[in-house]
Amino acid sequence: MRIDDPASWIPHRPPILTVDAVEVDEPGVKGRGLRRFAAGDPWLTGHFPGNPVVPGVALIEGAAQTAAIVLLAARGKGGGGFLADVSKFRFKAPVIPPADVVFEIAVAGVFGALCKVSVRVLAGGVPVAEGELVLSASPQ
Amino acid sequence: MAEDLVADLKTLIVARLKMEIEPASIDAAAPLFGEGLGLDSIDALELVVGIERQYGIRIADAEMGKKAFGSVNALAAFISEKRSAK
Repeated sequence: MRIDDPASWIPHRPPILTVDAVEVDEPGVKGRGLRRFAAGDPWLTGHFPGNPVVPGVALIEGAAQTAAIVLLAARGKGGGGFLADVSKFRFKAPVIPPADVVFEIAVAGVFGALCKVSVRVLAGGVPVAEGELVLSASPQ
Repeated sequence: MAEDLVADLKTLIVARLKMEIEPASIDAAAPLFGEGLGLDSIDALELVVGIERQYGIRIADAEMGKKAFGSVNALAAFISEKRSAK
């Protein structure tokens, strides 16, 4: 299942919306988000003048948004959620625009409203970051 | 056997939650959350993931978690019960 309109699933809007599309391999379990960071991307404003590098926090946010959509796909409708924890993140290489970034996410565990996901981020097919996130579903 | 499981769970808790305490110093009868060890819901999720990986036992929801996470002793009893039911 491919989602080309992420804004219809999560409440994020530009400039914070950080996925262009999400490919859901298995709803609630795993999938990947796609995002092209072009030279004029809002995330690059001030980071850094004349030397654009995609901020690590943008990669975390893109992964979190991807994970939210993969989780929401399991119940077939959009909704909200919050980032509850960020751990074990390592940034292996800078992401220089223009860059086609892929956020690979896999659910590691669920307990109550909390969900732990493993994240791998690739740019141009090369791994650039990995880590773990915990998302909290907002009350329905 | 039950004592081994209690000791193993104390080690798992300290390792998964990166606590800077000796596993043996955990009171097996003390509550894991709130008072006692003072764990929170994100710690609970981390333990759920660790217990599933180590023992193949899934703590599916908060209701089950309430029973399992009462204390280390309660967690050991929960795991023993699930193991014998397999």
